[in-house]
Amino acid sequence: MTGLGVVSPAGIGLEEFWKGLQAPAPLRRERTADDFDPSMWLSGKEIRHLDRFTHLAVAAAQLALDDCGGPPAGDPARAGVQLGTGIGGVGTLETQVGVLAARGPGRVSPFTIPMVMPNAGAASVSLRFGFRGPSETLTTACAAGTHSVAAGARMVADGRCDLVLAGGAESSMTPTTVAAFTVMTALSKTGLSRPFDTGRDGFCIAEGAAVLVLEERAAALERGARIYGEILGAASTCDAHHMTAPSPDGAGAAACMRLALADAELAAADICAVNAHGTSTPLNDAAEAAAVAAVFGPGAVPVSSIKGVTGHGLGAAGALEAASVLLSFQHRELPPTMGTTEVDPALEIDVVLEPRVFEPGPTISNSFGFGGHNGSLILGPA
Amino acid sequence: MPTSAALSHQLLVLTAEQLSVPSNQLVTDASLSDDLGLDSLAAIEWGMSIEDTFGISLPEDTMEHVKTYGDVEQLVQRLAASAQA
Repeated sequence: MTGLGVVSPAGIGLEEFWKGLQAPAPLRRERTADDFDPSMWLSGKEIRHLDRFTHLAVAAAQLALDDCGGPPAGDPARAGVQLGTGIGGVGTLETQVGVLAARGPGRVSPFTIPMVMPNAGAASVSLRFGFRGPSETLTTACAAGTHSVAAGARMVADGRCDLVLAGGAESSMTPTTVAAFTVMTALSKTGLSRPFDTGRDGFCIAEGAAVLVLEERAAALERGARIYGEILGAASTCDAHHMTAPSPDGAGAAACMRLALADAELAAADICAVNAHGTSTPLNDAAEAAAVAAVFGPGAVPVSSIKGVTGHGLGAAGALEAASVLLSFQHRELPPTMGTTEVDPALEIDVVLEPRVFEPGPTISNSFGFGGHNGSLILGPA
Repeated sequence: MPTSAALSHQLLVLTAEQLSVPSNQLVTDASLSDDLGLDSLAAIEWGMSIEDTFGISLPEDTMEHVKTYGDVEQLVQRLAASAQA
C-alpha cells in the first residue's frame, strides 16, 4: 500500500485524521464530515449529478493518488477500482421520492439511477482517472470496506492489475435510514459511541470514505514508492445465524479471523494488535470480544476501536480502519478507543484506552455487517 | 408575461447555470452537443427546468429537431408566445 486518502468526520487527510483519532469522542448521534467541501474536488455540474457518497469517494481517491505521488505511469487497462458501500446513493433516492410525491413522475431527475446505484462511486473514480481495468463494488453492509480492500489486493496478487484503488464510501444518513436504524434499536440514544464500554447503547451513524493505493510490492519498491504496509491475508465468512444479529458466541467472526491467519500463513500469536469492528452496540461488541478472546486468548492482544470518534461509517468503516492501522505503523502507536471509560467486565479483551506505544507488527482489522457478513484483513508493516 | 428580450435573458441565465457553461458561449449557432457538451440526461434535466420556468410543455421529440442553442431559444420563444395567446 503506497497511498492513503481519508475523508471522515474525525478529519480529512492523514494528518487531521490521525489527530482526530486521539480527540475526545463527540456527543453526536449523526456524524457528518462537516469540513468536506465537494467543490474542492468536483465541478458544479459533477456535484449536482453525483450523490454525496460519490463526492466522498472521488475526494478520497484523489487524496490517495496524490499521496502516492500521482498515478504511476502504467497501462490504464491494468488499473482497477474496488470501492464498497453499504447503501449507496440512498439520499438521492429519498429526495426523488419526495419529488415524485410532490410533482409527479415527469419531474423525477433523469440522473436518479446513475446517482443512486451503489457502483456510482467506483464508476466515477475509474472515469476520473481513466482506469479501464476492473471497476467493481461490493456491498456487504458494514463489512463492504474490508471486503473491498481484500478484493482489491487479490486483483493485484492474481496479476490482473498493476494498480488498484480500493476502499469504501458511505453517506447514507437520511430521515428514513436514521428512523429505520432507530426503530430497530441499533443507534445510540445518548449520541456517545463507546465501544466495549459497560454503558454502550448502540452506534453513531457516520459518513466518510477511505481509499488505499494497492500495488505489487516489487513494482512499488522499484519506483521508490513510500510503502505504508502490506496486506498479508484476508478472509470472508457468513454467520448464517440471523439477518441482523451476530451469532452470540462470535463463531462466524472467529472462523473469519482464523481463515485470515491461515491465508497470511501466520499463527494467532503472531498478531500484535486488533483493530476491532467495535461499533458500540451491545450485541456486536460482546460477540466480537468473544471471538477475539477465542482466537487469540483472553486479554492476549491489544484491541482498539476508532468508532468512538469516527462513528460508524458503514460501508466505509473497514477502509477507514485499514487506513488507521497503516497510520499506527507509521506513528508506532495504537489509537485509543475514545469514548470508552469503563470496559465491560464481561468482555475478556485488552481494550486500548490511551494511545499505546506499538512496535509495528501484523495487525488484524475486522468488519461485520448486517446479513452476518464477516471480513478480516491482516496488515503488516512494510 | 416576460417580453421576448426578458425571456431570452432568463433562458441564458438558466442554461448557463444548468449546463455549467459561461453565458458568452451561449450564442445562436452554438452546437448543443459539440460546443455545449449536452448529453441525453442533461438535455432532459434542462428541458424540465425550461418547462417549469416558462410554464410551457416541450414536445417529446424536441431533441430530434434542435441542434443549436438558437434553435432552443426560438422554440421556447414560440411556445411561450402561444401559451400567452
